[in-house]
This record gives sequence, C-alpha cells and structure tokens, in this order.
Amino acid sequence: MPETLLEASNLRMYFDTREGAVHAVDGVTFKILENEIFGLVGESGCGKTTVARILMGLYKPTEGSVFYKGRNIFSLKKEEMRRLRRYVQMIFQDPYSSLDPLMNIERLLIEPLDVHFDVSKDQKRERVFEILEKVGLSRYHANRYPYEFSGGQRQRIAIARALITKPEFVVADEPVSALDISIQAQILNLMQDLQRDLSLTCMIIAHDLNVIYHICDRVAVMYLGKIVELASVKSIFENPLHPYTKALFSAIPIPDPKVKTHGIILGGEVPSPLNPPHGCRFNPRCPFKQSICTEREPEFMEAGDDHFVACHFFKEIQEKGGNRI
Amino acid sequence: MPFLQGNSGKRWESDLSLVGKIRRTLHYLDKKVLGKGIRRFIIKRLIYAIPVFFIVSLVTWGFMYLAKGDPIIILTGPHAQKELIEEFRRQYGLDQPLHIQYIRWLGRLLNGDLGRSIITNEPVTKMIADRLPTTITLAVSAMLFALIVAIPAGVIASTKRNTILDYGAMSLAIAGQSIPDFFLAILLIIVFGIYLKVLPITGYTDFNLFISNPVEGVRHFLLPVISLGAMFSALAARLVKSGMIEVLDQDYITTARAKGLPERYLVIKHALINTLIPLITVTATNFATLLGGAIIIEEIFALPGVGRLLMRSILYRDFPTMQGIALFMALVYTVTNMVSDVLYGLVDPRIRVE
Amino acid sequence: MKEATETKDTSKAGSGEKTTSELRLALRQLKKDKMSMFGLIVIAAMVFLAIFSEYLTPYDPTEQDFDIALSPPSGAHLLGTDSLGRDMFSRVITGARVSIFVGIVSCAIAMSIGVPMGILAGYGGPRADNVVSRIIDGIMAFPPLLLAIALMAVLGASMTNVMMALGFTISTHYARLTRGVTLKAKEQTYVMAAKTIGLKEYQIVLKHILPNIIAPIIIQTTVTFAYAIIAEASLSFLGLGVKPPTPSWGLDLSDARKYVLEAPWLPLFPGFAIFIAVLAVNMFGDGLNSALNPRERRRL
Repeated sequence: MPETLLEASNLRMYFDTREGAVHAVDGVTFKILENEIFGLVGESGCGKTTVARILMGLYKPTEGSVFYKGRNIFSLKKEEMRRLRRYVQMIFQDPYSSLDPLMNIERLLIEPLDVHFDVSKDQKRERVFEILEKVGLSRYHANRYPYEFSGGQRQRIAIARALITKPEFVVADEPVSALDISIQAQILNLMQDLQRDLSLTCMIIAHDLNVIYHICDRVAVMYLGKIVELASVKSIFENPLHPYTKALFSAIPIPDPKVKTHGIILGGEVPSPLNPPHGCRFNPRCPFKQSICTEREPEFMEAGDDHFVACHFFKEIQEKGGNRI
Repeated sequence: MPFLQGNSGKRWESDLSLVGKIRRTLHYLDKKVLGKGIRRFIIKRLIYAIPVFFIVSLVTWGFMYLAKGDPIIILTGPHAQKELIEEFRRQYGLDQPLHIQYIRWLGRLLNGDLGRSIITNEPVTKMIADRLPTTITLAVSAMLFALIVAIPAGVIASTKRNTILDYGAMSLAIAGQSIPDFFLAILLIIVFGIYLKVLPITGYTDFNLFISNPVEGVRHFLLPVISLGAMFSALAARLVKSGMIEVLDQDYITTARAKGLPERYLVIKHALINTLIPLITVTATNFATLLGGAIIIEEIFALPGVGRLLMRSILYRDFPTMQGIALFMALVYTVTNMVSDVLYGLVDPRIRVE
Repeated sequence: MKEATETKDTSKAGSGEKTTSELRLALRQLKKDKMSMFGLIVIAAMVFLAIFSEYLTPYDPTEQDFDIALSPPSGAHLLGTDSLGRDMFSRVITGARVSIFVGIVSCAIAMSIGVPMGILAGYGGPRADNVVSRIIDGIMAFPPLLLAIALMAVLGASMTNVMMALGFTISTHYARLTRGVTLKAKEQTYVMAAKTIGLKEYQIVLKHILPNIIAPIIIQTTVTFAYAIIAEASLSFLGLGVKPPTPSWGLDLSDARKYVLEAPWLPLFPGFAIFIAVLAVNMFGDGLNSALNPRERRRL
C-alpha cells in the first residue's frame, strides 16, 4: 500500500486586486502517493500553476495546508524549509528564461549542490557530469552557456538541475509546452525513465491531455480554481464523468478514421476568476445544465474505484451515454 | 497576478479588530474617493506628490544644518544686531528640538512665508515674484525654441534616413548635446555680440522691456534662449528621429502604405503624433535641466531672473533667499511633472490602467 | 495547442540581460563603429593626459607672470596666456586631470549610493519600494544643477566637496534606473528557480539579479560621466567648484569670459576642451548603447 508523500488540503489562494479578490484556487484537495506520476490538467487560468507554486512553498495559501510526509510545510521554520528544498524540486515551463543566461551549465547545476551539500568542488563536479549524462547530454556541455542549446536541450538541463540533489518529489510545470511537438515526446520519455530509475514522485502540470496520457498514473482535472474530476488515467480516459472532462477529450484529435467522436463542443470562454459563476462553476458552458447547477456547488464525491467527480448529474449523464466512443 | 504573496482576499471583511476596521475604511475610500479611470489617476498623482513635497521641504530646511557654523549667524548674517539675532532665535525656535523647528518652518511655509532676505529685508516671495517673469520667459522660450528646431529636424532625419541631411542633423545633435551651455553662450557672444555686433550682450533691466519695446526685448533674449535651448534641442531631435523610425517601421504603417495612403499624411498623422506623446514626458523631465541652466545663462547675460538672484544670494550668504529659491524651483518642477503626467494620462489611455 | 511563451524573447530584449554570444557580437559591432572608437581613443588620451600631465606641460600651470598676461597664441605659449600670465596650454592639459578625476569619483559615489537603493526598491517588496521611491522623487524634484549649486554653496568650494555633491546629485538617476531593471529581473523565471533551489535572498540578489542588471548601469555611466564633466565645469564656472589655483576648465572659462573683449581667443581653448571631452564620452556611450541594445542594433 503506497504511502502518501504529499497532501494538499483545502487549498485556497486569493489575490487582492483593485477590482476585487481573485479566487485563483478555491478549495483544492488531493493526495499524491509515493512513486506515482500525478497529473494536473486544465485550461489557462484554471489555477494549476498557482497550485504548483503553493506546493513548492513559493506562495503562502490564503487557507489550507500542504503536508509533506505528514508535516505542514508552512509551519516549518525558514531554515527547515530551506533544507526541505533538497527533496522537493521544480521544473519550469519556459526553458528560455528558467536558466540564468549569464551562468554556464556547470555553475547552474552546481548551485543547488552548493546550497545543500558540503563536499569538495571536484565531487560536486563529478555529480554534475553524472547528471548531465543521465539526462542525455554530455559532460562536455558543462562549460557552455544556455544560449548555445536548443529548447529541448535546455529543458534537459532544467531537469538535470532539478534532479541533481536526488530529490524525492519533483513538480514539473508544463514541462513540454514550450517545445516543438517532435521534442515533446523525447522529453516526456526521458522524464518517465528518470522517474523509474530514481524512484521519484512527480507532479506534472499540463494543459494538453496527450501529455497526461503519455506518462501520468493519476490525474486531476481543474476548472476555475476547483478540481472537477480526479481518477487514474486509465479510468478517466475510458470513462470521463464530468462534462468538462468529456469536452476536453472531445477536442483531442484521434488519428483513426474509424473512430467517431460524439464531440461535446464547449461554447463560450472561461469566465473571469474575479466573478466565478454561482453554484457549479462550469454551469454557463455545460450542455447538461439544470437549475440546481446554478444554485448549489456540487460535492466532490467518489463515483467508483478511486474515481472522484464534482457534478450533480454525473450518473445520469453516464447512463445516457454521453461519452466518447 | 499582482503580488507574489497576496493572500488576504476578503478576509478582513469579517475581521473585527482595529486593523480590520482600518482596512475596510481604506477600501471604502479607495472605491468612493479614488474612483476609476482618469480621476483615480489624477488623484493618485496628487497623493503621491504630498510625501514628495514633504521631502523637498525637509531637504531644503536641512540645508541650514549642513553649513558650518551657528545656524543663527547663517540666517541673520554676520553683521546683525543683537536684537535681530534674538528675534530670529525666537522666531525660528532654534533653541527647541529639531522636529519642532521643522514643523514651525513648515507652518510658515504653508502660509506662503519664505522668510526675508538678510540683505534687503524684502520678503523672499516678493523677490522671487519680481524676477519670475524673466526666468519663466527664458526657460519656456528655450523649451519652445528647442522643440521648434528639434521636431522638424527629427522628422526630416527620420524620413530621409542615411542622407546628408540625416547625418548632418545627427552630427549637429550629438555636438549640441556635448557643448556646455555656458560655452555656447560665450561663443555666441563673441560671434554675434562682439564681432558682428548684431545682438546686445547686456542691458536688459527687467521684464518691462518686453512691454515697452518688444523687439528690443526679443533681441536681448535671443542669445540666451539659443544657448539654453541648444542642448535640449539636440536631445529632442534625436528622440524624435528614433521615435519616428520606431513607428514608421511598424507593420500597420506598411499596411497603410500598401493601401495607398499618401506618405506625408502617414508621417504627420500617425508617426508624429505617436512620437509626440513620450516627448511630453521628456520635455517635462528636461525642464529641470532648463531651470538649472537658466541660473548660469542669467549670470552670463546679466538677466535679472530668479537664477541671478540665487547667485547673488549665495555671494552674500543670504540664506533665506537661497532656501526660498531652491524650494520654489523644486515646487515648480514637481508641478510641471504632475501636469505632464496628467497630460500623458489623458492622451495615452494605456497609462490610466496603471 | 501550445500556450504563448512571450517571455522567451522579450525577456532578453529589454531587461538588460545579455547572453555571452550577444556580448561578443555587440563588442564586435562596437569595434566597427568608427565614431565610438574615436570617442574611446579620445577618452583614453584624456586619461593619459590626466595621469601624466606633469611631464607633458611645458610650463607650470600655476606659474603667474603678469607681464605676459592675456597674450595671444605664440611660439612660446601655444595657446597664449590667461589673465594672470599662466600658460594656457599647460592649464588645458592639467585641467583634464580635474575633469576626469571628478567625473570618475562622482560616478563611483553615485553608483555606490544609487545602485543599492535601487535594488532595495526593486527587490525589497512594495513597502520598501514606496519609501525609497518617494525619497528619490523628493531629491529629484530639485533641478540637478540647482541641487549641486545649493550643496556647494553650503559646503564650500573644494574638489572633494564637488565630488560629494555631484555624487549625491547623480545617485538618484542610478537609483531609478537600477530599480527599473531590478523589477524586470525579479520577474524572470530563473529568479523563481533560484528560490526553489533554496538560495537565500541576498544570495539571489548577488548571484542572479546583480549580474543581469550591470549592462544598463554601465550604459548609464557613460551618460552620467559626461554629465559630471559638464557639471564640474559649470560649478567651477560659477565659482562654486574647485578652488583656484587648481586648474579646471570651468575656472579658466569663467576667467577668460571676463576678458573676452581683450582676448576673445582665450575662452575657446578651455571651452573646446570641455566640448571634446564630453563629445568623446557621448560618442562612445552612443556606440555602447547601440551595441548592447538589440532594438537599435544595425546590421553588421
């Protein structure tokens, strides 16, 4: 029975703006188990990046807590938090701005080692070469500068930097969104291999379901600051329950001419998080909307084997066969 | 997302403590008084000006304590009589703690009292007011002269790029930015005043000259205005040129050209207007340099303006006058900046969103 | 379905950070720019004069000889003599010393005050920003020359005081600039990455922010250096700068002006000295700006 490595409990993050409070994250709860790859998917602005940053301790949530191995990370002292960072690392979306352009690769990769380890420079350098080779680069890249590398290579460097301290948990915020399609698969495969080799626990943030499908074990779907569905990848791809999830799947092109898509095309745009709709946040765009959907927020409940959904009518929709073939 | 750690949301809505009440009041004031859009912009600018004003007054007041020696003697001059010294001591409260002195000084200031000159015992405000028209005319004329020369020069340089006109204008510009205004003044004096004997070097007594004999007034002002304005003119010309180029290179201009719109129209209507907007801010910022430069120019050409008054008061160690002029110029500059900010906000809608 | 990654290009363009290859490209373009190279040579020449003036002057610049006062350029005195009979040529050469020295030290003082203030305002959060920015605004409310004049009037004319007064006056420009580029640098992803690694705040500032803001600061320095030269000359011209008999171009100009009717050639020499010095700095600064600023970069 795998242990829970990280638990997010009722996270809320409100930002003060002149026009009011933006509810970027509004009651997000989930667990991530050891050695699993957990995916978080949703459109731009749904709050997934904010969740990632809260998990990393970069933002302090308005409400809620994050437990790492049972300890509330926001109750830690500064020094303890800093020491924790050895085990919790992050890979950022944009490989062009996540590496300081004035530092060569060796300096970039040694930096985390300098913070957390007190060993000789040579030992650190050895580790740098080791990790470079692990991500598919060579030790001879160490004295080059980021601008000399392509996007995919830079992302490999970013991965190397995240893994160099032998972390336990890695958050990857849209790790391949900025890369060419042909490179995306490479990097994802690399991440998958590394996760296996190093027994890592990962959280992958993405807006592209293909990415999730490729490497994640479980996935949570976010909409406007809330999780609307949470299940294993297999379960959610075979049987998406929430109308939003169904719509997301309808948008994925399937290169099989025999497969028909009873597409659910979503109308409208994501409403502004300043003024989220009443009741179920998805109701303005939901093709199955009923009056109760505008009054009461649906509860996040278990719908099957470890499959959670927040929708008033998921059972009825499922019975009527409203999913993709 | 505005703040990295922003996280209060509407928590204070239910917060019953004093802090909560204060926050609610501030939020209410923010919504009601500040409002939105341009009004908010203007009021916010005014509010920001207040601490600036305080710091300006603090700095000016603090000058007194930088100088060596007893502040009383500094204020009254070394030849003052005992009664006067006592009077000053009482009035300025110099035996009182520092912050009291500042507050009293500030109080007088807010009443419009800048003190009296040690030398002439006139109120400083009057002395400044008497000489203000000269200085303002000088500074504003220099600014206008600079713009009148710079804008066409910049436009021509940008439209006739890489020609003799362009290189000529830009060389002149970089030279103009490098020549100190007092040297230019001397050169102009030598050429026009001494050799060609075309323009007068001295003889302007006061502002009434303009009223009684405008041509003479202009003649007297010609060289000073050119000397003062040359540097800014050079800077402005370069800015206009680069601004124009930036606009003219943009895609929407190419589209308009392809549609067949006449070049002249494009140049004037689109490019120029877009360049003029940031030019407003630059002009306002450089107004300070013009005010400062006016000090030297007035000295050289013996124009009885505020700058010359400053130099004289320095010479005679007339401290209250010095302070008053420094404060006054700072205020003028601050107001100028505020006006230019508001103008800019009116013209460019993007700024209002902040 | 790819999200826009606008941060990719604009982050490099305006924020002042430079990658090494672009630095090399920039330096190469700089070398090809004749005007800025000319400027650099002149500056180097001036520095040379400033350092070795004692060995280069035919006469002692402070040696007075009333008999030959105000004499025009001749074989004996290349640039003539001033109202006290001092050799103008020697004075012009030695004047470089004051100009360069005051320029360098004032800029150094200004930087050491202004840059930390700017970093504090830019990196230290909205509260620090508000306080520091108001202070900067307050000081900048005074026209710079006025501030320098007032300070010198109060402190008394001397070279040290000039350097301090100018240093203080110029520091605000550095502070504003530094604040701007620090704010931009702070938003870069690699700063956030540094936080996730566990670096302490001061380490982030030193290792990641500072190197990435140096380029615009250096460009600003060429501008302020030119300004310092003019400001020192202006102050000396008004009698509020260096004290005689220290040779300063501004002092010489002010002196020459009094006798412009008898010796109209005299103001030309110190005046042109100032002009050429400032011109050289401006030309070099322009070239530097074009080279380091991608928008203005011309094709090689």
